[in-house]
Amino acid sequence: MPVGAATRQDGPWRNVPAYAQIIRSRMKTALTYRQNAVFTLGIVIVQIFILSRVWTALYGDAGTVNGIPLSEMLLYLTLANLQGWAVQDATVCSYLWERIREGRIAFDLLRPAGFIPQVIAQLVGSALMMTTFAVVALPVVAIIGTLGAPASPAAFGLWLVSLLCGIGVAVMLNLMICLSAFWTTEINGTMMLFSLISQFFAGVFVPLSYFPGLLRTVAEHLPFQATTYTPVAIYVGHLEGADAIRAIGVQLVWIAVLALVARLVWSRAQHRVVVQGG
Amino acid sequence: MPPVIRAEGLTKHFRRPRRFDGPLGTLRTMVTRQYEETRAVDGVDFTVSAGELVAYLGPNGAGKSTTIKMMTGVLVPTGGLLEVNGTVPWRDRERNAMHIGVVFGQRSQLWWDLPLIDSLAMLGKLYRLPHATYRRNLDRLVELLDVTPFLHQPVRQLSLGQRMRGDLAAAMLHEPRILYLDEPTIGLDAVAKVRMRDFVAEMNRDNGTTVVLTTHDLVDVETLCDRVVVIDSGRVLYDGKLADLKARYAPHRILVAQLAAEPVPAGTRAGTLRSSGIPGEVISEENGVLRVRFEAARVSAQEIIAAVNEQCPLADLTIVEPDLEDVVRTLYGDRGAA
Amino acid sequence: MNDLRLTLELYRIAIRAERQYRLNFLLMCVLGVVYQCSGIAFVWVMLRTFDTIAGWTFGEVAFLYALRLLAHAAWAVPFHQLEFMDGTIREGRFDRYLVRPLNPFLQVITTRFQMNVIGDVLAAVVMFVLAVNLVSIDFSPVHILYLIFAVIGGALAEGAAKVCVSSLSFRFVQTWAASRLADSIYLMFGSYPTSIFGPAMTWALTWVVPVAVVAYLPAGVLLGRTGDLHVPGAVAIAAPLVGLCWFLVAYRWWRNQVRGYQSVGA
Repeated sequence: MPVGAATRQDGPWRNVPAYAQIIRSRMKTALTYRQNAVFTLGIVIVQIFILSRVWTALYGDAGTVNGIPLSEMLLYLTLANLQGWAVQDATVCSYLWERIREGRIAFDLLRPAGFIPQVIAQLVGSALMMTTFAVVALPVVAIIGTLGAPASPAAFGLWLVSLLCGIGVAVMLNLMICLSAFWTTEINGTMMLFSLISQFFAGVFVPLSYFPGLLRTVAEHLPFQATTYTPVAIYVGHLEGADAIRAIGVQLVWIAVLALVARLVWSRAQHRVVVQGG
Repeated sequence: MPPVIRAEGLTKHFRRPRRFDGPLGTLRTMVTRQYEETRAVDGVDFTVSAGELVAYLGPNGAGKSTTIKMMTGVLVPTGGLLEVNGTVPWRDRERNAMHIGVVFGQRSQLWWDLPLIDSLAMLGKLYRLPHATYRRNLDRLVELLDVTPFLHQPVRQLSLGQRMRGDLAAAMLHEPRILYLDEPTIGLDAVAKVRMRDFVAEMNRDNGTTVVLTTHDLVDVETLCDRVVVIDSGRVLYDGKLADLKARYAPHRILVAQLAAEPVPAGTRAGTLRSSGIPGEVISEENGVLRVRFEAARVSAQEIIAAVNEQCPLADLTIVEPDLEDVVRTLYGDRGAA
Repeated sequence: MNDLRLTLELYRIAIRAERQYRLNFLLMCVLGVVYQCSGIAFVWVMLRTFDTIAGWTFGEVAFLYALRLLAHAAWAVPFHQLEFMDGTIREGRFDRYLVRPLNPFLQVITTRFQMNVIGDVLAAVVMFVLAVNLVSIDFSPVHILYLIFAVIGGALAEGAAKVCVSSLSFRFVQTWAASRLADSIYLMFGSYPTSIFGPAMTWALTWVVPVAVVAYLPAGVLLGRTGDLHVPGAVAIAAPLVGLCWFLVAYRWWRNQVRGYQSVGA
């Protein structure tokens, strides 16, 4: 066989098998570390419990506040927390950060597959596994929190679409955090801070409709609401019809914007890698 | 004089939960309470007298580190008796700690981000040294180990050899009665190794410090110790003088001779020797070099030289002494066979 | 006590080592502040729509939250390194602590001094100053003394849980999840009036996992709300002692567990 012929050179899909492999092995790794997932899920379940109790106490005797009955609010909280948990990245960023620190990132950079697509593949694999865990955990969640039917069959369909887009936005946001690893000395703090901010502005603790004036405007212009708030709002019927479709459009816009920003950040980061040297 | 370290029937078992593999593995591991028991140290007896310099040898996983950790009070024995300086290490850990110095080869005890001198000052306080004593010991150690050039540099900037010297100073600062060295020469270059050995020998000689050393570097053992304890699978295989160890397990010397040039095919002379009944065994003949193994206790060098020379004239020769490595290989090899 | 002097000395060099990483210090401080204040942001948003929760006004909830933050900071400043003991053990540094003539507990807590705890202190002080202006508390000397005891007792109550979790590291390798769970329980459950969790949970959070004693009960006493607490007034006043007892038990347990330490490597 002539030299160089072993590697396939064909077409624009030439690196897809590599990405598929990355997704597969990240899913496998996540499965091996399922104990960790169980524990963090435990924390989310505690959070669901607490939020349910807090909101029930807040509602007191009132059955409906701001047009939302308590049962719908509890459903919203349960779903938002579960989704919020499924899209956060617990492993990929710290894994990358360790490799950068040790210098082993060089291996990832030397591959024919692009670095950013590799990271995205890692994050997609992680998100897929987390979603699987979330589905498996549904029975427990149903007991502690409140699960229920979607507002309508149309809502369900739109929810599925929006969920996929939401995962997409979350993956892009996690990508940003991963890239920050080229600059920071401590990744855990960044990840915790990010998790907190993104949960808050994604409406995991409080639906966005409750945010007062200025805070609401800020929240609506941030990408976080596109990860969790939009899909859950569609499911429970807060967003319907044209509004829902528009919201999904916003999600897609965010994916595109974040992809562009990632490109820019990466070109700076690459420079940094070369400067740090061997 | 009472021994400074005394162990009788010393045992350490580790119980680890049995881990199950497979899809339900985690659940099974958590639900069933089956344990696997490892006998890391299985009935070890020995005593060490004050001022001795003892080496611990053994393959990886033999139980050397576990034994040292019990002597230093890090691990609690499962059974048996252990006394160091008259105290039970794990029970009176802090009292035991005052009289021992420990150097872990792989991990420095110095504070990473601070200058070496700050670490030593902190240790002086930790070991409750009166200021005068601290100063005296510090000056002496600094001079002996030639640490002055980098005394004020942060430890993370030091080379491995420099760091090791810092660790030695740190270990000896409080004049401990026993110095434990766990793989101290790992990763050091030749010069640094010699320095370390000289220092340890001097501490043993001048201060009367008892030294317990575990190592894989057999040159450490050859130069420093005359007593060797070989451990394997948690049991003592041998405990005694180094010379006796060699005599028992590697009792052969080897005659390496340059054969005088002769127009005969290779191997014929070896054949001649083999059939002629010399008091030794021909190992090989290659490129005119002959190797003959003979028992050091029975046959003298002069005898074997004469015997060989009679059959095949020799142009030049040398006698190779048994190596500790041969001993170790034999000992460890027996384990593999058993 | 000589041990105390040594501990302070060890803290001093830990802080000195940390000074070199200044940017990190700032980031960690900010993180600390944001993390601790996030809870109250949520409560603020809530109580713009709802006036009270379980009968507590926003000012009173803010005060409870601030008290919790103070107790947390009082624990975290000296003892935060306990949470990272699993890393210390994994890196083999704990062996060294056992070989030195000082209580290993003191050596663990002085391993490092992470500057984000300063952020925790800042958040607590700011929060407290703000909250005190929203409620009417009579700051007599007795009340101030009680406040101090409440903060210390609360710190020890939270600390008891942290010490117990930390002792798991002697026997198990991966304990960070348990540590985060304990942390979350105190952060989440401890920031609200415990009564909203129902009578069973309230009981458990008082006597089993002492969360209520950290802020809810002392806040109830200081705000003059002893009437609607789930325990008699006298017990509520004695809440800090519960924290102390739990801590002593946990500490004894920790010291005992060191015996089961298996070390790393061969």
